[in-house]
Amino acid sequence: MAGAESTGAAPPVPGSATAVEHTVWQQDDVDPGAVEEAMRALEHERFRRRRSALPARALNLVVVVDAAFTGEVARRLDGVGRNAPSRTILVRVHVRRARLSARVTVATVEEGTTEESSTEQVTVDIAERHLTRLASIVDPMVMTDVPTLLWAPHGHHVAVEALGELGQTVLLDSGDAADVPSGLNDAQHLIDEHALSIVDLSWLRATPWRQRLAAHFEPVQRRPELWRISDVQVRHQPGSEAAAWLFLGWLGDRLGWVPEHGRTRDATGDEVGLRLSPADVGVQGLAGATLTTRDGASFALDRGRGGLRAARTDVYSAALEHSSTERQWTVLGASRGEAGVLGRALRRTLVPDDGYIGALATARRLLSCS
Amino acid sequence: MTPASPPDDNPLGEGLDQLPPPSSVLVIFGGTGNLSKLKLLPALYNLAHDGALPERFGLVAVAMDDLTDEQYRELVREAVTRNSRRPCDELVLETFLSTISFVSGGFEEDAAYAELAPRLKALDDRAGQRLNRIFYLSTAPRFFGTIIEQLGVHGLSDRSGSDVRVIVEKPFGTTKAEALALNARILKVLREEQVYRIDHYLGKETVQNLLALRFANGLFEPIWNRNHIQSVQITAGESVGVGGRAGYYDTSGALRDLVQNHLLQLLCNLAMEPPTTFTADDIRTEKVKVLRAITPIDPDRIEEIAVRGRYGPGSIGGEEVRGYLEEPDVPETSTTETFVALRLEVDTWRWAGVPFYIRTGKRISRKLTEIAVTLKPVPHNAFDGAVVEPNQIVFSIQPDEHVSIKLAAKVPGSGMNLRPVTMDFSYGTAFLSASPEAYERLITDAMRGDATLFTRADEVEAQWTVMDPILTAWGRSSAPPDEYPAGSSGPRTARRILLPGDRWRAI
Repeated sequence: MAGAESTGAAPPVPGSATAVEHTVWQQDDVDPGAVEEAMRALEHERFRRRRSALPARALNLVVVVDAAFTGEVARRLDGVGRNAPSRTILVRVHVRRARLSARVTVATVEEGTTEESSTEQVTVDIAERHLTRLASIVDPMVMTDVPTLLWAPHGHHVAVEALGELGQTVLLDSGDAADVPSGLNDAQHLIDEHALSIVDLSWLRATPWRQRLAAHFEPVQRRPELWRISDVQVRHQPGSEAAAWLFLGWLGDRLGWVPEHGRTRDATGDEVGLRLSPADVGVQGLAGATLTTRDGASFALDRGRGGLRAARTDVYSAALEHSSTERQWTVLGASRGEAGVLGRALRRTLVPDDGYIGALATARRLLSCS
Repeated sequence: MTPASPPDDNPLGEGLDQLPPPSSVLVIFGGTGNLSKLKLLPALYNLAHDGALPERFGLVAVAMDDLTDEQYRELVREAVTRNSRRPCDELVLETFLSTISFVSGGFEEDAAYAELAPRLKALDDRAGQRLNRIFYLSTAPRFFGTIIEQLGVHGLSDRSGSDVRVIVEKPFGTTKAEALALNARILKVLREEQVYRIDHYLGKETVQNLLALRFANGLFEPIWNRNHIQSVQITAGESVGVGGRAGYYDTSGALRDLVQNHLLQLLCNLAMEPPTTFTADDIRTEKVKVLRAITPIDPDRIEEIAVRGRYGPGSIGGEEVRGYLEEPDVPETSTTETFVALRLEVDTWRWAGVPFYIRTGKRISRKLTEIAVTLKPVPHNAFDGAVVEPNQIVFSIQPDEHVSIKLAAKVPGSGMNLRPVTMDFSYGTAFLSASPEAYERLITDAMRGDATLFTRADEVEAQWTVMDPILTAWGRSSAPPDEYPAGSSGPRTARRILLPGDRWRAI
């Protein structure tokens, strides 16, 4: 095969830590059709040698990165393990570059005891001037009939908009923007103007918190407390204010809060106090949250060893006596780390999260009112 | 949405993956046994790791061993470290261990229950709420009835303000009479909706996917009947022998061990009519209808529809292995079958005349569980001289979870030569994440109160109704099972039950 570089035992490609073999093809001054042709040829070659291996067909991921920072993105993708996309198209953007070049790696990955699958990575080197026409380069390389996720972690918005017709979902981190309103507005813009779904890493970092809070209020007898919330305090890592606003946006959206004239009111018109405070924690996302009701009861979650530390204070009033009890416990669960959050983001492309749109809209309203 | 009219559903639940189950305490009877060490404890740890255990959770193990809480936690640590599907997170494991306590005592002794009751109350007090109680009977079957009666005697079988459920491991009886008697004993203490009879095959993704493929795709349902389907073959093979389970296995045999429960469940999932809704009772009602439609077996004509076999010496993986009778703890006079082949018929409008072949064996050439649906041949072969093999849809459950469709395709070249090819769908390649372990799914379902993947009383009774005549016939016979060499695909006599034109799939 023209341009074929090597076949043999594999160093892992991003996201496929269990790769057992890889084949590589590369060529300079290439046109996209030739890349697609090379991928098919590599797939046939791989199948000829390992008939038990099936090509994975779940997700395309198109990543547009500054060429100088490719390694950082590759490292992040390395950590997603089993959540690795079936085909990753890594577009490296150079300031100046005359022609396209491409490299294709097909990795055979162990799947259980007897089965293997193959995942593919295409690395394409382009110039900045190609960004507005990026769809014509990437289109022949994506697998049809599976979802395509677009990710431009270094802010190539032009590329995302150029690829909008090709992908259905954009992966972003609203916390990466210069300020929180810009990050949330950018996400809203992609939804409104380009009809794209969003997978937001800042939103996903709050998922275990949302899940645990929802579980706490699942018992019917606790449900009425949700309508008596008078104060919400969210503690967050200093760089994760967007995650905190999205968390508040989610609560506000679900509970019908209305921001107006610098205040937030609940569905009955009572005021709800919202407070955000940075906390010195080593990981991105939330550090804790406390909900307090008008009768003084409260429920708090904070990061702890082996899970989230929960504390609940109940208030009892009988005749003239007023008393309260506090209970603390740990809600079991491992920290997923940033690799786990990215893995969850890839999965979320296949199983959309309906809660995000409402949370985003409400977060923006709360923020503009704060 | 106002305080006066809060919504019935949890407003915070929308858009999230399934919420963790309600706060619960899980009591495992037989907490030091093999199933606990290999499956249950690692499953619970993995649920903890994933944040999928209830908000307030406690685990109490009951066993006859004389252990302290601390000693039992060490046993759990070792079991989880050795058998978890993922490397352990030390912080999560430590916190998980702190939720565990141990009660030492015999299952028939009042003392164990007298000690258990205050432990459970203490967990309620610490949580400030009445925790749901899930009792998991992972013991020898002879204790099932006794434990449930003891729970009743000690006031642990029901209470207001929380739910009490009991998970009963298999085997559920060894004959229909035993199953009926056990159900009667259990249902004197518990209501049917409290009883979760486990069949871990139902927790496997591919088994559940059978229903998704059948009822969510227009492709399959129009051909899912006697007009288009030639036969169905359900195969469950293992290359291992009885190993250390000879004591149990020799009293059970392949029919009771696999066919009565797992393989009949597969048959039901494949043959059932679409349920009105995908709720536990609607699905289980349809499965019971299938079991009741299986043509009753005449013990006097057992040779026509059933074959039993027993492995002799042979080789597996290039190594010589002993025969069943030479296995430790197997009596010389044993007539226990290690292989079964059956031909059943489901006498309904949809399935009349379609043979359902079931085959299971130990020490056969490899481990696999699959369902193969063979379609009728095309009515006219226009390809002169070419052999056109019928289409097959194969659902593979073990060792890999995938579905393949066998089609005929033209071999490249000038002639019109045909060859079978397969289209494959594999769980490992079509979804981004691995299937959870069956026990993880089943334990959370039981904690959640979802009985869909558990067997109802009438279902287990109907299963035994199918099996009893076979057991009766074999019990009357003094002939030993047909011998097959270890490492083969079973006794040659298995061909005897095939209808003309049918053949066993290669294992």
